[in-house]
Amino acid sequence: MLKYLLRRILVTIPVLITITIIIFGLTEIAPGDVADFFISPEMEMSAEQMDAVRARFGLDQPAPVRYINWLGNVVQGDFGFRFTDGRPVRDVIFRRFGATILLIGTALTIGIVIGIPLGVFTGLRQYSFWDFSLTGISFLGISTPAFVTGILALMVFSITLGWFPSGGMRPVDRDPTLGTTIHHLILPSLVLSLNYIASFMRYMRFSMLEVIRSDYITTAHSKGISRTRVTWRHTVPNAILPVITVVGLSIPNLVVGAVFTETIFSWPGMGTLYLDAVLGRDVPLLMGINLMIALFVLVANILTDVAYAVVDPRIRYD
Amino acid sequence: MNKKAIGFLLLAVFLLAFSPAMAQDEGGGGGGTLIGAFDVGPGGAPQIIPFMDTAGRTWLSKIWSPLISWNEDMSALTPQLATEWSANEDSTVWTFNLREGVLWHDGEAFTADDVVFSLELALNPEAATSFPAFSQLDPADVVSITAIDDFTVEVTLAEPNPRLPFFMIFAWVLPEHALNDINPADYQNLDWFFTNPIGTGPFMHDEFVADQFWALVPNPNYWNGAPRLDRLINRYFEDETSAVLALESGEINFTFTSGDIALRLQDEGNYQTFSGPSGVTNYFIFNLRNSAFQDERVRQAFLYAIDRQAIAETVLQGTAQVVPCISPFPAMWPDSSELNDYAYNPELAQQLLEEAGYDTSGNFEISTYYNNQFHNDALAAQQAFLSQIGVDVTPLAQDVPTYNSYFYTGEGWDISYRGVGVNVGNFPFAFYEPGGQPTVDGEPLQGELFPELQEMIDAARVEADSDVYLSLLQDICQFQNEHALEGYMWTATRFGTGSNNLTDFYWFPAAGGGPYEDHAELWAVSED
Amino acid sequence: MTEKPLNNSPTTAVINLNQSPPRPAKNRTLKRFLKHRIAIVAVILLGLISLISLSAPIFARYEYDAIDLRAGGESPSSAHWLGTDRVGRDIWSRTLYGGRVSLAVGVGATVIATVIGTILGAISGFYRGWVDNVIMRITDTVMTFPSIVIMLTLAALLPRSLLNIVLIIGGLSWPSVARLVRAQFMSIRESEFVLAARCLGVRDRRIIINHILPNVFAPLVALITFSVGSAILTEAGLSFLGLGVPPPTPSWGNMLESARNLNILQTLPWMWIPPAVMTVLTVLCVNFIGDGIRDAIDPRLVI
Repeated sequence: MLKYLLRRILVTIPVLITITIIIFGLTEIAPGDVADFFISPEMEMSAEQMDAVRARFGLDQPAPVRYINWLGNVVQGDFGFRFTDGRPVRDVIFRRFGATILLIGTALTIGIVIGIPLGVFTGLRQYSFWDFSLTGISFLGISTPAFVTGILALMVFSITLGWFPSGGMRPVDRDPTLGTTIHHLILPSLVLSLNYIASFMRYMRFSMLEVIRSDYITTAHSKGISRTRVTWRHTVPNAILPVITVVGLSIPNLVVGAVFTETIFSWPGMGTLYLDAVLGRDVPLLMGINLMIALFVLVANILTDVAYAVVDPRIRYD
Repeated sequence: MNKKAIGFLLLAVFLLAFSPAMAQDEGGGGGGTLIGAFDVGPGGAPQIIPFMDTAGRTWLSKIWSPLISWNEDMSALTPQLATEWSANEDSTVWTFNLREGVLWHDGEAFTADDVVFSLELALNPEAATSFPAFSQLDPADVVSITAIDDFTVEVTLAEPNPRLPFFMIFAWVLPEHALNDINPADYQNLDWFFTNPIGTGPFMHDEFVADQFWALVPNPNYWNGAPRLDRLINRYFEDETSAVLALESGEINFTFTSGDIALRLQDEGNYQTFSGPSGVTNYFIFNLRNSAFQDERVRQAFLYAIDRQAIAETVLQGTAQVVPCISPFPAMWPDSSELNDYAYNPELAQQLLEEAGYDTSGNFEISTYYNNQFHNDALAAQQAFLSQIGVDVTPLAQDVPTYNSYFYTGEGWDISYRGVGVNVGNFPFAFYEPGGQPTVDGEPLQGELFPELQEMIDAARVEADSDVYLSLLQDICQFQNEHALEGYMWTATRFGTGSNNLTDFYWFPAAGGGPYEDHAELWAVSED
Repeated sequence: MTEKPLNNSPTTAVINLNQSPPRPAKNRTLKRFLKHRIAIVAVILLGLISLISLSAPIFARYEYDAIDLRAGGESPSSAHWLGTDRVGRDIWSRTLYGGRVSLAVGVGATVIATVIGTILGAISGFYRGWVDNVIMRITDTVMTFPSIVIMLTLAALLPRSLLNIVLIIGGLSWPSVARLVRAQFMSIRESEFVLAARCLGVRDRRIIINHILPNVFAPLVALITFSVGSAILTEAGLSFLGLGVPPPTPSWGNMLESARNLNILQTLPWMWIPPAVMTVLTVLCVNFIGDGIRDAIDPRLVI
């Protein structure tokens, strides 16, 4: 096992380098660069001026040289400066990542706390009235874009009722406290969690249905163990594992996936940062974020692979 | 009226009578806290560093002052740190007289050295600022920038530039004493702008929270009088919708609003509406390398085919005015009798196409960087009108870098729906000249096809007399209109919406945020 | 204490389905599916949605791109059953035509992702070893790919067409399917019935297709239904990169996008509610059909 782990970690390095090369290559092929971003289409700019901008960002050097330089700096812990505002990429990512963890972490927690029990509930009552209603509602949640739910939520809870602030992470007139942070967090995390609730509920329901029909549950029932006991001691714990796997796998994608929620609630997270990086052709920022996501995914995948072996001793790595 | 009410009234009168005096003693204040979404909309951009700005100057001008700015409605220039300016006969040597007695936020005196330092920094290729692009000043053409005395600066140019003052609105003045030992190459990465920036503007830095807001406090020494506000805050929003929602929930006092939103809020009655011309003309630019568009009858047919008036009135809800040429301001148009209004006439359009032998089997892509409801609707209507005369076009939305990378090479596009900011001081001559944009590869796109236009442009560029200059612009307009050089559509009115408790607040939809004179020192927010 | 510790039960990392009695014959599966009433209703409804979308020209009362500037933003009426958008286009007609694009994208992209993901995941999970390693590293790489950068690049390289949109969305969303299928395979290949089948000399392909794949289907259903919905919405998201279906062609996704405008969201709900309802209905149908197939192939379930 240890040998396996070591090998997996070693393999990660060339995979990471490959990923960064491909991404760097893609940004090269993608039309336009940061100089093109800087020209407002509503003004004129001469070719010399654009070349000056390119030179300022080192874009006058050939791509392989730029990539090697970037890689060399990253190895030394220097992620460079953001093209668009000159801030250190590391600081920007660090700040935005914190905001994202707060938002997505909360939404995931809400999703698990509400979605899993609902999944258990609907799984136990397949094709009942409740199963249909909750299925219907959850698909409504999944199929409605976050900008619609987000705006509607703001109209009701912020504009009409005045219960929650309309966006941002903190008040502008006093220092943030735990209370103000929670106050700002509730609405966006609830809106974001709608999706998670729906998907956790669905996964949990499927998983429950599988486990309920397995032999050992039937055996447990036949042994005369009470229904509730079977459900909570055997069915649910067995059913929840695969759901956690599915959830764990999707976390890296969630990091940059909350663009609409972040936009509507002015929550400065990774999703909008990433979009800005792409639309601004901000290569250092783009590479920094991608490197972080890649690391995240690779580590998550190693952990899940290890988890399989731990949970199911029949799976062996060698 | 009961006693209590009278008491309150007396108290109110008392406070009103004394508060300005008291406020003066404290060096401003008492006017409440104004929170605005100053960097939402086309004129905004959450930009922090002067000379790296491409927009967002409404906010930057609260902290830093330029030498000169537009006046309130962008009809003329108005003094800021420069009080007077004049040129020698051929407009190669410009002298700027500076305001005396101005203090930096840290109490140091402002002098000509600060101006020289700032301009040299802004033109230093190592600092790679956006100033040369916006000021259209090629650093190589600037012979010298010298301080004649403490309050006089002389700028010597290699080429005549009669409209230099119009570009000095981009010349922010930075404190030499705080920044003189920086390495120009590090200019964009300075922490100073985020931690303790100082300027000469009406407000001083208080607190900057990245991605959230920037809070300012009044500058008691502001040369035009201490501001009334206690605090001025710019809140950052990712898009207009979230800012409008914040306005409706009462959390902010002001934001830019699109035409349809502004009209709805105006109808609700709880808001003040600010509006003005965008100064931006929306038009089709035809890629004249495509032989189909070299025949002016084809271009004219496009104009006749599209009911621009109907689109402006219905789709754009009357918030846009049809324009005859690239200039959005009537002052730059000749008499209407000299202009063709290209009134909606599909039969004539069809006839022109036939005369020109236009091949209707093709399909042209109309590339655009616009991606909002206003322009999407306009494009849908334009597309439908064109299809009625047998011209098939397909709108193609692109992000700005993609758009620019094609547009400026002149390759890979047929027609572009775009906007260009035009004003008396800043006419996009380069668009019509060989070597100018969008002809970076040196191939003339339009210039050499129209020698007559070229002559007018050459004359206008160096014309120092403003009346002659204006009449040349009108001639250019007439030429553009007659030959349908481009497919001129409309210029939109842009809006801002503020809460009712704002007093003496002023906003104008200046392109790039100006800077323009908005008398921020007078702004206040009433308590109720 | 009567209950056994959980570890003694045949727990697997992924969903438990290791006891696989002989698989029912194909036509038996079909029979079982046909007994599944909700699934049948869903099949019929989805068929109906597809049918009216495909034959949109018959049911549409206007051309989807016919503008009428004087009738912009009208509420539903006898002339326009679902009202008009701001340039006066008929929403009923646009919803019908929009279904063509959105169904193709939703179903097409999902099929592509499922097929690629299942094949790679099955090979990877069944054979393990270096094959697994190579396939999973490729999966990791695609998973970490910034889809928006790829889309931006492809938008510049590929001509705009519905097929390309389907290929791009499908081609970027298979890794999660692959990982899920692989996890299932890893667990099931160790179970007694697979070992037994191998001992009996049953060929790999037969084991994979007949014995393991049916068991993998269940957890996939949830993933598949979600991916139909998200593909429909993703298509609209591509349009601002110049990669969505070119205007004025409607899609449910780009009609829904108009709700990003505050005024449309509030005052012209008929512009975005119809495509939203159609999207929800489609996803619901896919879900119930998935439910039905899952129940039908599950031999332990008595229908």
